[in-house]
Amino acid sequence: MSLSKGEKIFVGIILAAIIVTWLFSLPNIGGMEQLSEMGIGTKWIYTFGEEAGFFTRINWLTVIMGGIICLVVIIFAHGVSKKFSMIPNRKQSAVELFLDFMYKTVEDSITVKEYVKPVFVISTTLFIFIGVANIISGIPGLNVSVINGEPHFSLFLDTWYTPTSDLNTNATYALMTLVISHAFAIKVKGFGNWIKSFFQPVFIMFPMNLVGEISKPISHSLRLFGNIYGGGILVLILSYMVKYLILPVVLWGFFGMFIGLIQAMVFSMLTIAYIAGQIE
Amino acid sequence: MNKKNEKVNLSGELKKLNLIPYFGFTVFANMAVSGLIGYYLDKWTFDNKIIFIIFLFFGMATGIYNGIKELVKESKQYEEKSEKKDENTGEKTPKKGF
Repeated sequence: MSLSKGEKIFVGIILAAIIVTWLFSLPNIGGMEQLSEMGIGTKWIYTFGEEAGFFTRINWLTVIMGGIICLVVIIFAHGVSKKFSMIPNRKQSAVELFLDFMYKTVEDSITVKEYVKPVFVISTTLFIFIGVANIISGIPGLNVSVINGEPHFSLFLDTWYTPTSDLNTNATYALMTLVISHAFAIKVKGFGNWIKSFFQPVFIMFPMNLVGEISKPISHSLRLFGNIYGGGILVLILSYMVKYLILPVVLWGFFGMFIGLIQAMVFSMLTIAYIAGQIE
Repeated sequence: MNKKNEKVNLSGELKKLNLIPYFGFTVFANMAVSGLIGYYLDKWTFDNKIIFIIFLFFGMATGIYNGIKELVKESKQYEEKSEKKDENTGEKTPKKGF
């Protein structure tokens, strides 16, 4: 494989940046005697109000990074739509290919034609947000862990914080999917038939169907959360063992980008499947 | 038909791969929900863990029932799709599955 002059310079800059970062963070790594000192699995949570409770806690990074991802996606979409033409450029073709693929997938699953577009919008939006969030979990950047009750900022020792590694984000989307699927079901079948669907095939199956429905958002959200959060911790531990020399890049690529994109796809597929199952 | 010319349906393949973990996650989630209901029912009634254990087993049964229901539904979809494909191409594929 031969590289052009520009590519060689680019690879050189990247390698130099990795070496400089590694040298810069070496004293930091050497100081960690135990894994527990790395603050693995801890989250930077701000509590306000007099009593700490469910509604008085905020995970800063989830809110900030969620907002940043939304902004990045909106800016990208604006950039593509501004130069929309009959003969597409690279960006436009990529976006059209992706949207076409998603539309066909939804069209295959949803039998009621008038619901194809709303389901396409919901599932594609979820895929884009979760996909971008998971991809940044494969890129080194700023992350915060709490050590001895104080936030500890680390640059390039870990990847960007991803909102999908917080169960609240995934549970929100999963609950939203559940509510939307049942709202669509009531609209398509009517309220009476929707209630009847819980008592099928026989009346005794009601508790089983009910537990099955309640457990859908749990399995839906935990699958994504487990993959991303578990992947992040695994990479941190393995990186610590080799002192951030070679392995993290490969692992970040695998867990962040490959597994992350697959899980984003699976999440939106399940969204389509749950809605399709309800409005059949 | 030349297999190389067949288009790979990426979403369909992903769906197929997804079925196996889907079953596991369904069983786990059903057990979790049922176990939680059982735990609180037990706490508010006799507090001797019998209701909790009964609900855990109920969750297991519910999980397996819901998982198998989904598998059967998917296999029916594949059969319908392959039948449609056969009608278009004029070939016959042997029936597989449940």
